[in-house]
Amino acid sequence: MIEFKNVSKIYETGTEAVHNATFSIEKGEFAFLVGTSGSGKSTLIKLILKEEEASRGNIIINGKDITYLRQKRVPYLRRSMGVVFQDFRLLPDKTVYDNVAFAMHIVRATPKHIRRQVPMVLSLVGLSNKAKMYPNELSGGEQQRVALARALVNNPSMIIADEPTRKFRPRNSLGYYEFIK
Amino acid sequence: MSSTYFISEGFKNVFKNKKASMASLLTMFCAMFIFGIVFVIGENANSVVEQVSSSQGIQVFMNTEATDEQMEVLESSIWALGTDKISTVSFVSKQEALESMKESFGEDSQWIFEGYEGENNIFPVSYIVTLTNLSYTKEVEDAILKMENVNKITSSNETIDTLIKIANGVKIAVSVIFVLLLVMAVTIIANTIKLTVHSRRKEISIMKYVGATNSFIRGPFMIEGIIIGVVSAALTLLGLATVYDLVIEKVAQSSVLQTMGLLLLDFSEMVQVIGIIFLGLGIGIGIVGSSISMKKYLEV
Repeated sequence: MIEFKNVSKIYETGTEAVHNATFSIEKGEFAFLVGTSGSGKSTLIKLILKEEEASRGNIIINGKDITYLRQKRVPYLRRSMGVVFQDFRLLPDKTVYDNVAFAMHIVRATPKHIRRQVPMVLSLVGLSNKAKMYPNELSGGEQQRVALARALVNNPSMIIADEPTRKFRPRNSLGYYEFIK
Repeated sequence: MSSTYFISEGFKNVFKNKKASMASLLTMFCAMFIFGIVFVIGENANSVVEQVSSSQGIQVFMNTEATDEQMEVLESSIWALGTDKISTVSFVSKQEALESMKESFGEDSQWIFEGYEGENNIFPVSYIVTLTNLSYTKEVEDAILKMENVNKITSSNETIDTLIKIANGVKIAVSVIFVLLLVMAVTIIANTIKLTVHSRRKEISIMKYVGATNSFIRGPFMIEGIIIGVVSAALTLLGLATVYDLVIEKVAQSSVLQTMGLLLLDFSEMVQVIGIIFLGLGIGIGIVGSSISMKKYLEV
């Protein structure tokens, strides 16, 4: 599903964020990437999302080598994954419902499909009663669940989360991972 | 489906960013209004030149001894110069020439002509030739002078030359102002939209990360540009029509135009062309402006 073959990333400043990474994550696997701050965890995610180009090596996603993927095809690669960011990246002027529906508009889902799918995903993350609220009216945990709902709504083949529980107490973090599993 | 989404998002954006929308709208209004003024002045100048050209003819005087056949030959020779140049050729008999002269002298001075009626008529027969375009004047005059039985010709060369110069000058001025205003409007609109896009760069980057294509992101911004363009085009048209009607009322009463028998154009005669130009400009500037300003933010 995700395969890294001798991947290195050296930034223009000369900093080597990823050095010769080789690993593979299979379908259904639940993998954690652990490391100190600045060890290159976020860079690795950026490489998977093709936000950054690998300096060396090959990255294979769903059987396709994305090393030479054309810029035009990048949006379609990103649609195959649901991403939860460290800072959640919710749209402040859209309601919870619209933040999730927005991901479906992007894949050009029909209005009927959106009306059916969004409430279902919101109830899955326990936010049915907050659909009309704006992100700034929600707690950190609730915002994170909106981000998760947005990542799940298009039924992606994989979920990538960049330190989604950074702001939580360990007990709450555990609950989050249990939920994803 | 996405077109409905684009349109609804475009409308939402216009109202959400009221200040930026107003700034774009005002800029477009001002640019199109100035262009509109220059354009209607140009159209009127052209219309005046056309009216003068149709009234100003070249008068061709015949030799007094010319026979009827020779006159007919001359007429067909003038027509032979080409219908692309010659608009009308009308015959003025001795009697008509006398009547026309009497008319120009007024009721009180008719006694002057008493001895010139019938056999004693000293006025020569002539042809009045009008042209399709005043720029052919010199060429047609030279050709007629070479024809047989032509005594002399008269035309208001200076008036015609001045009018042609004015008309050409106005045309050039309209084109230059058009280009300048277009560049100005696109630059300002692009900058205004850039401000909107900059304030929404977070939204754009999130869209990119969730897998939106560039055209999907650009869609609502373009619709926003088109909405602003269409609204400002409509407002400008309305404003221009009101101002034009007010001004034209005053100008039309001016003694110079009245004595020359010249008419200015009614706004309804130009409304279609101006409407199409404004709409094209509005939509074009909206699309070009939003494309230019978004370029930088789409490279994520």
